[in-house]
Amino acid sequence: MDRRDFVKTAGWGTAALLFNSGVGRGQASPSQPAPPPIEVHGIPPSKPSPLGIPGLFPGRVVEVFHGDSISGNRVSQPIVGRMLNEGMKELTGESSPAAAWQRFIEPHDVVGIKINSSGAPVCFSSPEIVREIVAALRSIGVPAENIVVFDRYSDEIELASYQALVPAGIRLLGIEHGAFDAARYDFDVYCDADFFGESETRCYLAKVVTQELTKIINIPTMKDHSASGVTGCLKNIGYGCFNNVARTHQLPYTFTDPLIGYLCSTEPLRSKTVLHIMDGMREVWHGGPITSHWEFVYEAKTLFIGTDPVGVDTVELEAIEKKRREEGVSSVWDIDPSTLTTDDAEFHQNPLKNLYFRQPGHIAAAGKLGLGVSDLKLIDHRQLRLT
Amino acid sequence: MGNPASTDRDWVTLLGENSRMGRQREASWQVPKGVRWQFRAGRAIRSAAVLRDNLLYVIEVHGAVYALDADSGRPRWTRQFPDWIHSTPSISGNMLLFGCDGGKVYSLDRDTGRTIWEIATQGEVWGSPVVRDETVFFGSADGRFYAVELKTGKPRWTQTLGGRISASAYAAEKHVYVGCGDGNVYALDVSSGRIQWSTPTGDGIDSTPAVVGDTVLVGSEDFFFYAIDAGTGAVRWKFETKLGVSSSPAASQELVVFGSKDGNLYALDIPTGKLNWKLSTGRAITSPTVICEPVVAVNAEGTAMCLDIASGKVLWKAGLGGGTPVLAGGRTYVASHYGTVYALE
Repeated sequence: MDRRDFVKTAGWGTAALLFNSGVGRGQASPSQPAPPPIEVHGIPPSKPSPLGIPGLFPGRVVEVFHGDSISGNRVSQPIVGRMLNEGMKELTGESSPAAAWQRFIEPHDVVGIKINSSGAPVCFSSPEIVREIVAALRSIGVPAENIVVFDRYSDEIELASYQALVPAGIRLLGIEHGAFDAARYDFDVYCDADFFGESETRCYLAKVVTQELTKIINIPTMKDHSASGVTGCLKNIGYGCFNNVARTHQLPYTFTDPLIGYLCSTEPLRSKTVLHIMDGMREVWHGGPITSHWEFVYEAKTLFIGTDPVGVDTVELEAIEKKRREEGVSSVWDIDPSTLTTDDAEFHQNPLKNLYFRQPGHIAAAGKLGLGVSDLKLIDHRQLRLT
Repeated sequence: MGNPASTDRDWVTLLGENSRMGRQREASWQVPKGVRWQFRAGRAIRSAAVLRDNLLYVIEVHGAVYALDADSGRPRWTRQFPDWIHSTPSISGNMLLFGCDGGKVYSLDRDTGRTIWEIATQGEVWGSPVVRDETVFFGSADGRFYAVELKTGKPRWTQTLGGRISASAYAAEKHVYVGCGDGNVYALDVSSGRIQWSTPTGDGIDSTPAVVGDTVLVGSEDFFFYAIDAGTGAVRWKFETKLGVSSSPAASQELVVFGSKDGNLYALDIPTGKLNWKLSTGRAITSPTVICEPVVAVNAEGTAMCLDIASGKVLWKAGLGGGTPVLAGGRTYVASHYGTVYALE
């Protein structure tokens, strides 16, 4: 049975769902025009997966800190390996790391590790963490050839030197390189919306997600974001697996809320993404997602682990807000027009300035789509402090 | 050497010639006054161009190989391969050699583009094949280093190392030197592949070594640049930058020049490791440096620049969109990351 047959027999027809995107902020505001309708064309699985977003542990976020995990911008692989082991056990309640990983991954799976290399060479998914995840997968029987480390832009992967730094035998994949490079996207799976009158209104999902991978482990970094407020699990998996997403930004407006949530809810991305391990070794509190200014990078020495991307991102948002308060700069919720600039250089140098009316509400909007828990009071936030 | 540049108009490997010393014999580079021609390949180019007999060879990352007339920029032939290609081609005799992301290494007739032989590995081949004494050397992301016959592609030996091999090797008379993703610099016996020594660094290596006299010079993602005794593997000195060093160095007499992701271009004294000069470009440098006495050229995230090698003073720069410059025959060729090939003179 091929994929098209499968769609028909699953009874979903074209699997198109038209949303009035009022799930975001619902109506126009001074900081955002009214969002357009968003049409989602996914390919749902034959039966819903309990592992798919929000996964086995909705609302649970495990935060693991170790004071020696990074120093002088160098990450200690043995220490992050230990942090990962303890965090996985805490998340799952299992007594061994192997048993914890086996809750999500089986030896026959084809596992994609979705890195975030967009901040390279300053802040990107630490290769040390990726190597520890690969080692964990290998330890439970996943063959090297069934592991794919991937990201959207191949030149960013290159800048981060993953081609040298990930273990031998596993596949490294950049989905696209350069403008209009859509060959590695699946034209059957897309979200369609006209935000600002753009000529191409569809965002297509990568073929590696629709056709090759059976499970995805998401490794976002911990950064503020000039458009979406913060970038974490949701944005890394949504904007990092679909193309043509930058069109949602047009100074000073952005439709990251609500598009991020819709992208993450699109099948089969939603069902295949089973685990989120946020790299909080470094925290970018201003200038994200791409900064070269070290004064805005803080060594947070933390991993956040969960199956619920909304929960993890909610905790991340609070952490970045706390750091910004400590640094004396405004909240990412701030919509004061006087803080806006159209000068990219000024934005990157001045933490009191921003390019867009940020939309951190994209996290709660994703929660309303059923992707997780965004109410801090309802989040089971477990903190481990290792020494 | 088995594959020297045949004339000052040729540039046959990643760094001009296998010695990785740049084109020191000739002082033929001049500040470009304008564009002689430009060729729009249409897709991104991530590898460097090579040149021989007035043909410039460039490869798009999406697998199109072009042989361009160096005077006019007109294609002599083109071929489309199914895989993505990051590998910089090498020229040896009538052959054009390069690797693919799909794991194959090809030898083409460089006059026609016809395949002479191909060999498969189990991982991406990003490095540029190096030729010496009728043998082609290259590494793969499958963790193995390969030596094959130049004429046939038949394997001579393979050696399994401890990690991915993404960088190119340096082939000397008795040893092949290569950096590995496991953080080690290896010296392999050129005839058997046996490991003569391995020297650990603090992280994976994505930089192609240069060898000057009995010193191996190479960068590591551990932020350091190393000078290693070619005979024993002992570290003579190491120099710390603020980020990873994936830029491959070029050497000139007692000076080695390399870039760092910290945005600086460094020139160090080879015997001592002492800093001679550095230039802050404000952009991560991952491309190789190349030398054409008295200048050193580099691409810093989209800006090609030439500097006076003695002082580090910028003599010329142009925002051409990246690409390691080729300096030959009085011209500067740049194959940009955006898919345009420029011939400047």
